Amino acid sequence: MTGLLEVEHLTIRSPGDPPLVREVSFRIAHGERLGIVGPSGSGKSLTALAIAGLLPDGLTVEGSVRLDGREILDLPEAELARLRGRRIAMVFQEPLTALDPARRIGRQVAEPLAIHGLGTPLERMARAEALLRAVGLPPERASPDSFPHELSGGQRQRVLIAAALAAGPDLLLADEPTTALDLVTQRQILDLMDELVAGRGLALLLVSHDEGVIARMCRHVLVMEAGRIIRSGPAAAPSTGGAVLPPQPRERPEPPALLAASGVSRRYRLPGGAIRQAVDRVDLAVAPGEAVGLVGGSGSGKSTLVRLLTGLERPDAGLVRLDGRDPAEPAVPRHPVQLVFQDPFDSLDPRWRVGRILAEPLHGLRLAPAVRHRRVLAALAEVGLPAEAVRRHPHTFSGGQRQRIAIARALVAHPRLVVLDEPLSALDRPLQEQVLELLAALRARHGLAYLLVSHDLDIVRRLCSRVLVMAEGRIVEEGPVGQVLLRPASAAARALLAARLAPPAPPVAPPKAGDYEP
Amino acid sequence: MRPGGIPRSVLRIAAALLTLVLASVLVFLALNVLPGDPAAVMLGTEARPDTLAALRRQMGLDQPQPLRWWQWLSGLARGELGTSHTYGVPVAELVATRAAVSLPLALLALLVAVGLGIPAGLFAATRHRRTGDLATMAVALVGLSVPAFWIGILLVLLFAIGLRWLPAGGFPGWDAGILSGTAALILPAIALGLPQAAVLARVTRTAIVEIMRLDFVRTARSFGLTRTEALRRHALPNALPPIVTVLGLQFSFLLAGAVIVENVFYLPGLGRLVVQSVGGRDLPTLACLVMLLVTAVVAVNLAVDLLLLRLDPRLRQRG
Repeated sequence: MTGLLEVEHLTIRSPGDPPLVREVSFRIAHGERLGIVGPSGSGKSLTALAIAGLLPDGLTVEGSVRLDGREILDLPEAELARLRGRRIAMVFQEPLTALDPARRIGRQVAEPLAIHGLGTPLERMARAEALLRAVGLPPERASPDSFPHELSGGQRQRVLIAAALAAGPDLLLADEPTTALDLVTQRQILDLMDELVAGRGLALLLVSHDEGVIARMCRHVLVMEAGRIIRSGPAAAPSTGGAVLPPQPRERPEPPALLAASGVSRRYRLPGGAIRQAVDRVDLAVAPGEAVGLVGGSGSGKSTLVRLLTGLERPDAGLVRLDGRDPAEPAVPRHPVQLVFQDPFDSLDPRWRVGRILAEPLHGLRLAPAVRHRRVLAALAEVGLPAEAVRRHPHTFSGGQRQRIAIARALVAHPRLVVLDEPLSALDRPLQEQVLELLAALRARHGLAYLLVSHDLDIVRRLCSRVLVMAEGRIVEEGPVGQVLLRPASAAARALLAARLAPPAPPVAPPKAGDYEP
Repeated sequence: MRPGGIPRSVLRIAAALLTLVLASVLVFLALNVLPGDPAAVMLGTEARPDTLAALRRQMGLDQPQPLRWWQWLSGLARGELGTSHTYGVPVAELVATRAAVSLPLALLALLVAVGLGIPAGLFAATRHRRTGDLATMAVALVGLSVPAFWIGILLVLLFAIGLRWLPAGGFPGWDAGILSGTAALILPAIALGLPQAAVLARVTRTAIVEIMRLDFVRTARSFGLTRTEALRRHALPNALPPIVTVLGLQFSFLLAGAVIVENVFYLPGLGRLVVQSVGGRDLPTLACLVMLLVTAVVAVNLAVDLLLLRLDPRLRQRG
């Protein structure tokens, strides 16, 4: 096999700082697949961007990148541009923003053909339509005349893949191509990439923080950390990890429940006048000290249900009772239930210092300033952050630390129920592990009840004893976590289980000959 | 389409018409109902009461206010604008000769603003935070800070008095030929347009720099575009909405706000007519002028709104 891509001693620097990527070397043969895995900030995405000459401004790069033996690292922008799309194509992480909002998708898929002067305009549009079909977007599902905002995230990622393949490249660089997608869509997109890459004999460099994704697609993996390759070898399924808590031998929650909902429904009017039943006659109960998981695909109504249960919104029909009272009543104190949200970057006010952020749930409790301060410091200590954090702003903390701050904010009011809405989704796997352990320890220490909303059954399994499965606004299945995981009764639960990437690592199809000609 | 099936563009047009009707009420109230009797002003303080009453009847001032408003508005719509008290000629004729100066002047000034401002903004954006950018923005800041009439005086000194290329002021009328008419407007148009070009350059630069950081520009480069090509093909179309919005505001300003430059160059434009009719209490002319300018502003805003709907497909759906 000849080397298609050879990277040697690649070093990327931001002037004045230690190198972001140091001395990275690897090679990819025609039709071969290689994965790069590592936590955020390990330099894996920068490595991919450097190969395509798309590094952000202000970074300098040294070393060597050869394509078919030809040095491309020091090529002028115009010559490098000629390789992009035609020889080296790229798929990015964020499908919601990666497409031009003002252009129809057909034209965007055809754009690489136009740029490289392949075919007549008419042929290009026909080609774009065929490509959209090949990525599972036939005209009846998404017309080539649609604009990106009319498509879902998964569909937009399909459009990007179609565009990346349009001019028949030899090498596909995929930078976290499924990270922003929910698990079911992630699985579909990986299947699609697998099929297309194998069918066209493409070489693939797949960058991800998720070992499961790499194991699904690649045989060989490089592990990066702090800008260096620290390990290289066969891609293996990640360890699934043991339960943080021993499964609790808890009987059905005995009344009175801490949180109870009966026949709760909520509908919305969509733009255009259609009615959407977001939550449909849901009954549920959470006992004091119980940890209940709420799982479901995106759009199943989980988030709306959470808003109803916490009194942020009123149901159209049905009753919600928190400690026997309606949480949507203005006079009912809110502090017994606290929320932790998915994104620790968005859920903390960037202009407030941490001390003020943490004291906010205490507003209205009429505590003496000294008591308030003691509570804030105690909550910080609980989540393992130093007391001096109160004087700092959120942006001076890492993502994992910010999620700890969000958890501390929930704890400070001494709640009885904490609603965790996808609390780990925005974190790397090692950080997920730490936060998971913290949540388990806090629950044991304070006898907290948790309602954990997630699409990730593995996380639910490790924190909760009972799980509710939601689909199309209804609870379609309910039971002990072990039972639902082993013998799922509903189609929704089976779909979520099938979307889990661990442990299968299917063999990679041998590259086939037959170059794609546009 | 919106709930109820009414397209967004139709709603915008209806809103514009409603704005015009409301504006006509305000203009009417301001000029007719507020203290100050036009008939008394015309006759002076020595007038006899019966002469005053006769004139009021003749001018229709004795009729109820809403009826007078309706007669005035329907007259405007039919083109019956009344007679100027000061000049004694039909208002329509007076305004038309002035608009024949002001409208071409505003368009020329806009041409100067677009022709200089947008390329300068693009140039600065491609050299973001480098010398070319800093120099362009420094020049733009000077352009913003120096008043238009001062630029006008400098232009006259240089091109009319020094080089003798163009007339220093006055307007020969379009009857004297398109060329000499246009020549008279060139220096005023530059004086008016330069500060606007500076504004436009800054808006363009900021919009482009922000868009060049977005993911889809990187995607476009990954398809094989160079940075400059990606700017032209993807960043510029997406930067047009803020640019067009500013252009709309500028055009309204150029049409109505050219008084000072018209005075510097002795141009018989709408701006000077406004000042003259205010000074002479020439209410029929003033009412007509104000409505004309209001209509122009509303029309330009409507055009901008409709254009934005074309430029950004996302606006067509959002409620």
